[in-house]
Amino acid sequence: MRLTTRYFISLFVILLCGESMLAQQKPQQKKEPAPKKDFSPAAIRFGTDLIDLGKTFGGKTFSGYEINTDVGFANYYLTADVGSWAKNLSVNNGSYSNSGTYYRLGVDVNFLGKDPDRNMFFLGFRIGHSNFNEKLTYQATSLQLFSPATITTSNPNVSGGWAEITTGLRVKIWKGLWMGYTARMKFSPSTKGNDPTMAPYDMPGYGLVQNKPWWGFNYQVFWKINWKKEPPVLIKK
Amino acid sequence: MRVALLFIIGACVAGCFSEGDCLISATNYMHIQFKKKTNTALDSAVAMTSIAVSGTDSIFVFKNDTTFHEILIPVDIHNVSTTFVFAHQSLTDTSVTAMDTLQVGYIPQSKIISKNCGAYTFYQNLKILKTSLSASQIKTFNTSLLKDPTSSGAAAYAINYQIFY
Repeated sequence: MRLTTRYFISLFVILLCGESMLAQQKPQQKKEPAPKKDFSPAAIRFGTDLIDLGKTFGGKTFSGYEINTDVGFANYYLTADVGSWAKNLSVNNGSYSNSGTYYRLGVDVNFLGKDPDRNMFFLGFRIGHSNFNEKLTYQATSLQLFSPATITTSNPNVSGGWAEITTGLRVKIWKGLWMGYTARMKFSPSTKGNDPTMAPYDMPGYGLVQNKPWWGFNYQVFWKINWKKEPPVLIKK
Repeated sequence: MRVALLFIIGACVAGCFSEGDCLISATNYMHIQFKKKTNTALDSAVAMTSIAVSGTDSIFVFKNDTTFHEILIPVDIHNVSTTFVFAHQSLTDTSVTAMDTLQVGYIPQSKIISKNCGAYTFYQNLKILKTSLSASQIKTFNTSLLKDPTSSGAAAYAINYQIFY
């Protein structure tokens, strides 16, 4: 799995470098100096994950939400997500519950920089952090001598972190309304502060700690708020 | 763009290999081997009469002083320590029953293997709290109780202690 992770990180770096290298290799036919890219941000986009809301209102095992924001600096977007996540699960011989909050910070690179509507196909990177608690109750058995034991154990205050490589789309629907998706490959999870009697199981924002890497998918709706007119998209002729 | 598409497809395909199998390595059985004091590479056949385990009224009783060169004995799943009292034929005088006690402590760690497999207790940080054996008579190997889920028999269990008689 570590090889897979390394492979994707390398791929991501190659993609980033490749874009700038390709730009450099094109013959410079213009005599006039190209206008400078405007890196000043002009808008912020707020969104939420519809899948989380669907699972919260449509199911019994999950309750949570996620708020997503991003601010563009030309083709580069700073992103920040905050979320809450609580689960109540039945396991084969008991039950498990957790609840906690998380945030992610990162950068997206838009590969549709020439799109007049500023629609996005992006690759990005995130760092995630989570604070949560969890509780497990189950029936432990011994093949000989001892009667079954009901074990109740908990992690009252665990924190953890992870990293993500993301890809997705953002499409303008109408005025400030945007929709899109984000697919995540999450890796390198770590936790601290757990009780020695319980191994952390499900980290809000990440998922099953034992799965490395792990996968995530958000289907999101956004509203974009402009505080100034965005500079026109520069199209090279 | 083609590379990006490959990235997405690769990510989706790799996701198919994340399903966990129901292989349980957790056990509450401690594996003890008996070795000769004079040559620790050789097995020592110990004629065991009985083994009493704390936390239960039951006692393992062996007819005709069955000889063992290794044993698997369960630790108490309700407590964080277990005391074992081994009654066996003295190796110097077979008409005498020798008694050895061994008290071990451990940290039980609960872990969910998967929703379908369930939660299991992993006994870790095994250490000797009290024993009638001398320090030179016992050697610690693995400090976790573990079992190879793909094997069977005593060999499937991690060796925890060797006792030299």
